[in-house]
Amino acid sequence: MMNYTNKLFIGLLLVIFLGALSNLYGQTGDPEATFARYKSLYPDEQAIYLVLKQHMNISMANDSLMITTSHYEEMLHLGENSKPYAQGKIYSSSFIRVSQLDAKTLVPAKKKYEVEQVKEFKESFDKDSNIFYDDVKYINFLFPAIQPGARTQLLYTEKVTDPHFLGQYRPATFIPVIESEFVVTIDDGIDINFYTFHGFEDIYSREEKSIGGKRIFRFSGKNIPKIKFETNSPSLSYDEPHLIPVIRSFTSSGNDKVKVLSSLQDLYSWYRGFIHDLKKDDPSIKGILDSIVNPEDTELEKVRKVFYWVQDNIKYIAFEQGMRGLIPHPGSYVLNNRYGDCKDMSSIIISMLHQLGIDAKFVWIGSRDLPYKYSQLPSPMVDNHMIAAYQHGKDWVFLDATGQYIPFGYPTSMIQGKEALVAVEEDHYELVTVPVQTPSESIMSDSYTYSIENGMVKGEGKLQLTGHARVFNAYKMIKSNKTSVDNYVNRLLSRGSNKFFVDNYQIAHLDNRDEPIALDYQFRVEDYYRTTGSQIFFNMNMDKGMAGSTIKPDRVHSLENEYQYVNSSEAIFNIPEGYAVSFVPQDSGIDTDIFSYKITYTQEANRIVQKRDYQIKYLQLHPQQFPVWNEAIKHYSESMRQVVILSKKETE
Amino acid sequence: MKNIYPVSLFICFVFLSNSSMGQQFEEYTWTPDRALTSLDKAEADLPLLYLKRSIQYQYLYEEEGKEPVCYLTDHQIIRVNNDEALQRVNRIYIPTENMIELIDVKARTITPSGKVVLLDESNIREVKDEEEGGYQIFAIEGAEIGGEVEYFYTKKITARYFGREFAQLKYPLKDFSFTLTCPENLEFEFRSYNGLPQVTQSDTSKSFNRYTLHTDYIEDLPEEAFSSFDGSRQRLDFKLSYNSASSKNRLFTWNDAASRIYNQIYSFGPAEMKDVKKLLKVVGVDKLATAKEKISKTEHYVKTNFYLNENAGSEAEDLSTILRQKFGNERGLTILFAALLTELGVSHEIVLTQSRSEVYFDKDFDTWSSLNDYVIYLPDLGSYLAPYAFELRLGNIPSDLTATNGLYIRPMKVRDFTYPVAEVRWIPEPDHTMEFDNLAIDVKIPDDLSAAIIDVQRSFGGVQASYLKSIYEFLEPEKKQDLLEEMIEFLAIDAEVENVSLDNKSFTYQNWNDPFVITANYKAPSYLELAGDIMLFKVGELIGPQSELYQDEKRITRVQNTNNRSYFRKIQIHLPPDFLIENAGDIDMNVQVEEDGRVIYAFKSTHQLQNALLSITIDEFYNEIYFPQERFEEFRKVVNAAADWNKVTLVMKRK
Repeated sequence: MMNYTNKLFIGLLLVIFLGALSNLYGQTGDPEATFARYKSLYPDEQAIYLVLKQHMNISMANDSLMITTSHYEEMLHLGENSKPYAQGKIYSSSFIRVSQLDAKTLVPAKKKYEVEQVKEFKESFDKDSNIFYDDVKYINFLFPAIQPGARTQLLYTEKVTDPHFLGQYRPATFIPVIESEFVVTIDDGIDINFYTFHGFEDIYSREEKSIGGKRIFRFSGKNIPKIKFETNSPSLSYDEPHLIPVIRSFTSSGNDKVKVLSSLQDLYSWYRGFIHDLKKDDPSIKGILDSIVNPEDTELEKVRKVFYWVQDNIKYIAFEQGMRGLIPHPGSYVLNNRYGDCKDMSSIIISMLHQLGIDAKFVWIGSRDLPYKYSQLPSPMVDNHMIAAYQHGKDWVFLDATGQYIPFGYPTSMIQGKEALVAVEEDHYELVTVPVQTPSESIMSDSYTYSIENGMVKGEGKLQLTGHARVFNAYKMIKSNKTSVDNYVNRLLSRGSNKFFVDNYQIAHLDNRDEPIALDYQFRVEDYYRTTGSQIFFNMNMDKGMAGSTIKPDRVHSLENEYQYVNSSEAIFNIPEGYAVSFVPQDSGIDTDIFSYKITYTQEANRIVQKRDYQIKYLQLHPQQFPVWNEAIKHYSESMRQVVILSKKETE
Repeated sequence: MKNIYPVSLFICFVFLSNSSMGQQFEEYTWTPDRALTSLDKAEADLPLLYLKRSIQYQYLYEEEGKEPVCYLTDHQIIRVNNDEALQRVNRIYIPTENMIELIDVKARTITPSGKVVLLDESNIREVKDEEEGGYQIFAIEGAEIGGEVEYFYTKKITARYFGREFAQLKYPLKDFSFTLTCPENLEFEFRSYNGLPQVTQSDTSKSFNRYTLHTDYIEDLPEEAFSSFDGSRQRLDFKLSYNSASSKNRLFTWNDAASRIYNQIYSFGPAEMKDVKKLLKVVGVDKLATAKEKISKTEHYVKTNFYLNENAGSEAEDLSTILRQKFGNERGLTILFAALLTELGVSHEIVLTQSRSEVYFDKDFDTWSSLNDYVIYLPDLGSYLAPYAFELRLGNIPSDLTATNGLYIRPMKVRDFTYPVAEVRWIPEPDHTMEFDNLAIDVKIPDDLSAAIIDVQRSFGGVQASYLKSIYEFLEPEKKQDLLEEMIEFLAIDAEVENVSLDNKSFTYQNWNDPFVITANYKAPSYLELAGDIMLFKVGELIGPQSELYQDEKRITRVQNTNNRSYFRKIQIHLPPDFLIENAGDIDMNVQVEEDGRVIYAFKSTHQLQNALLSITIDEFYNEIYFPQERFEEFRKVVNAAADWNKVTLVMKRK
């Protein structure tokens, strides 16, 4: 157990930095009146924040910057089911050191509050993270005596150890906020910029004043509605108004101007230091290359082979503590360990290519979770990822080996459309936009033939997967347990009903990323179709795909899609002997910017061929597009319920 | 186990030893230089194969007059033949809970070409977790597909008196061994389960006892549906049973457990009871007529006003603190209920058991490893209460704590003195009528045949209803509506739900155990398929998707249902007047399993057609938790009958 409580220090801190906070941090007011007032304003809410405040203080100390942020949060519990909000959690790392933690509940009593202090703070690590080891800690605690009318107060201080990481201010939360404030106090001589997003300045107020050698900026808002939580939404940074403070520069005691992040060049110069010296001759790497490339390979072929080798042999395991979160290991170290994070994979690719006399570059990039562009925001907030890039003629080839099964030439789906910061030369960067893969670059195409007998459909087919469809399916098909592959193949091919069985299957080209994955299979579906008297009714739309995937009209957030794709199938239905086709559904189709489909039926001698394909043509579907989407899906769903009729031939 | 006893309380008397400290810690080591293990073709084709697992416990007296310590070693060798297999085993976590010191860690990988890469020990990191115990972690360096990953660690831990080791894995395991050594005054007992060979005592000649178990091969256990995976794995339980240095009596008996727990639970004194009285006053039980009402109202009050802090320390077990802070840990909340029931004058027994979805409680082996969860038995009502299952109310306890044994602690009064009596008894499971998910459906088909239009009522009873109520209460208003819609939408892929409502939205202590009833109407075009003058009505889809129970391989584990349950569906279909049904007979099905003349599993559907009204009833139920694997097919047929019925399609022709 940690003891973060140091009341004396908190008191001192309050007096020095947080004059305004100290009034609030009391036990004033009549509990009943406070509860009644907010309960009538928010009858359906379980809890609200009365106050959310951050006071950031940036001052000069011995020619460097000292940055502390004091946080104050006060919550009022309104409902009987607000217990989930009793849980407190504070993030801490080597870049953000938490101290002076104080948490308490004000329990309503007659005309006053009684104080119940939080006594246990427990440290744990981030169990959901895909980073194997880092220095992120969570400090967990539980507010006691939560009940309607109870107020919880939390005060803590963050010391920001690096001036590049000031964080952000986002006033709205998943519960309403009555009063929100972000105050930044800086010493004269410090130059700061505030970048705002999604109409922040239209909603929130900004004040600025100078007092005694300091400048104070205050951003604030009142009665902020809660954010609606919806699944499959892009990250909140895409819609929610927020602000990112960035220190541009400061003036040292010797009157020198020290640049921090005054421009993208500053960010690049800082980053450049992390990759300095990584590109050099390394005999241990040279050794392995002989077994990977042939001297007569073209340059492009060598790059492809090196990329595939790294994908196959370097496993993603991330150790990120302190600056190691930013600095790649040398290629030889990665080669020896055979594991690494995104930076390490980039580093070994670049080292190996360097050894072959091929020049590849380090690239910083943000995944699609982050909406920012370097060209608009010169800050490490823009990125969370590193890849390598190689220029072939005029084209950049992006090499992201963390995408375990991505074919050479494809960027991973999570960086499509993102701006990349390419380290071209020592002092020279280039911004390049990673292309978005078109639907036809990720195809799932199925062709199958079947016959029917005694209520059962029996057939065989071949499913082929390219691009991102290939990548995401490969993850499911390469398993340490055969049963889980069997089950997955069954689910993937599933059609007709859950009485669908794959009797036999064979997967080819799972390891050959330059070829589509090819899945040959034999299948049967039991109890699929109906026969009465002399007629058979058969719906050839055994796989209904997107049918029914309409979006609820009250949805407010966009929908996110991992990648655009084409799904196509060609089904050949062999007419059973003694039957003739008496009804074939009409062809149908629709084409919109976001979804299109086409279904055709062709009757040949003793068979019907149905061709069907649809395309998903968006990465983010915005609310104004929902009506178009829903109309298109309804149209498609309608075509899914059209049935073929076969009739017994008259016997001669 | 952590719930039951604080370790330090025992140690002084249990481990009193008169033997000298003669025995030394025997350092564990591995074969220094070795090549890749040779495998036959079948083995080499497996994606992942455990070549060795060796577990060693060494109990030692290290300091005169102090309790012994234990050195625990875990050694594994794993062959990895594909990417996912490698990524599954290349990150090692050594739990540090109870650890005094990490004595040794070694790890290496042997590549397909025979190269050996040793772990650089400076790359071992510590992650702290003050809630659940932390880890020392490291990644296997230099590992390649087609190679072997090998590691062992030895850690010094505070001595445990009970242990459990799962030997069987999801992957085949060659060469499993277990060894426990201890000073000769200590005697351990072992039980092997699910086919694991028994432990034998192999050496008593020296000043210590040695117990060993070895087996050449343990096949992988698949995860099967309607089964307890952990409960079916080959495993070993053990306990310290005797310490000849202190007495001839058996240690850690059920009676010992009972008196220890009894003292922990009923530790409250008059001062605390004053606060308990106050709480009951707030609850307002005075005017209630029956004990049952008093208990129900009190329970409902506690479960809406108090909360659980699983990770809290001993403070959360102190009654006064719990009453003030409104939260407790699992034992703390059990203490709170025991105090409230005592004050209400309701006789009750504390019961300890263990989730049968993990391990089935063995009444014949008194290991305290099985004493994990508390429930409270109320003999006068014949009912059970789950003190920290906030969703459930009197009469409903978590299903995995029923249909198994429990240690009942019955207070016995002799003159003025109350002492606990331990009994291992059955915790009965409710029958199928208590737990249900029923549908009442009324279908109309408009003349344009554009969609089926449906009025539906879905009602849940039992534990499931309680969980739904509890979730519902915690949701924001719009999410409440989403939840109800989802419970209806699943009935058709294109269901357009129009009106959906919950019959009773205010939950009280009186109605908490009533069913959770959703009423709605919806439109579903997909139920109807059209072909000229023919309409295909997918009547089977009215009951929603039913999962098909696959079983390609031979069934290995016995059937274990989560609970007994039933699904009763009543369907009325108003047929369009100008259509005739051609195959109404397809509706009727009857599949059942009998045991001792009693129907235990059944799916039965019947229909009646009167004018243009088609009435269907389906009665599906499961009323036996366990069923032998040899008769699995019979059980499967009933489950699949529902999936079959789901495919029933009525062919309707225009007259």
